[in-house]
Amino acid sequence: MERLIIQATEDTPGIDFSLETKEFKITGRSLPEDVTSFYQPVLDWLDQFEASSGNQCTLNISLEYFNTASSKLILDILMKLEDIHVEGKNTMKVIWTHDARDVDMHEAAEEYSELVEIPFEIIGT
Amino acid sequence: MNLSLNSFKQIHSIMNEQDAVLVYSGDFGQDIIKSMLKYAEEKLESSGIDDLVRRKIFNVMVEMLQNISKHQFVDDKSGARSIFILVEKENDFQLITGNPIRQNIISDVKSRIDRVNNMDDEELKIYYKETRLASRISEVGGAGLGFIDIARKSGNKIEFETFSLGSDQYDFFTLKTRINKNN
Repeated sequence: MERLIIQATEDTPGIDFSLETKEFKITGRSLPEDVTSFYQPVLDWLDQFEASSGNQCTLNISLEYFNTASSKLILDILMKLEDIHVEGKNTMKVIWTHDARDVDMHEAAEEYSELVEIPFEIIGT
Repeated sequence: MNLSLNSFKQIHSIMNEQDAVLVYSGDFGQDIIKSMLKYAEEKLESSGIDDLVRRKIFNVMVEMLQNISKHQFVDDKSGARSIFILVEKENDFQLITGNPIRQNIISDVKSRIDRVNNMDDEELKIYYKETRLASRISEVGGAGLGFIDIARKSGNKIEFETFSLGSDQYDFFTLKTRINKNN
């Protein structure tokens, strides 16, 4: 499977999903004008990933800001990974890193962790 | 119409008295929004305000500006443009937007704001989670979460008012949020 890399911009996050390193990364800021078209390649990539098996992967999220429309798409990604994890062919883990002082971001991460049945670690740095 | 120097002086003195950080009126495209966010962020950073307050302002500002960009239209008759203002007061920062709005959606918008204004933090949290779960991204790219998020992040009630533009289709809609300096 080809690695998915999208460079970060001032209003879109950096995406780096690799089956080779078993690491999926979302970093930076997410406030695109059109969230659906921005995140479509990510969801397409996960559809392909779903067909694979025997992988233990980690989704690393480290976002400084995201808008409400992105918040919906992040949930879609997490729910997709939950399906994959529950199916059992691949196992998933989420590590959400945020600035330790950012209580709003901590709460946002907690709310996601309550919604999906995947091992979920929240780290304030 | 000719802009008299007296009107110009009035604009200047209002901006001064109100301690405006940023005032913008015109088209609200994504590129303009990015520029406004960058400017506000740098200005707030250099003014040395608390990091958390700065993040809250940024977050609320994104939602308010994108709200306008997603729902803006031009009322040709009145020529009313959308506007955004960020001012710094002694105890808080105030963000205000104004934009023409179709009269037939006003009652819906008002009831959505009233609903979040009547909720406490815990109720807002639950409402946000439920709405997000049920949400579908709309044609204009919204998730229907903007007002809930603004209420949560600002921790204050959302104020709003509508003014007549003398049109039978559009009114002018103003929205105000406050972010306290000490949370």
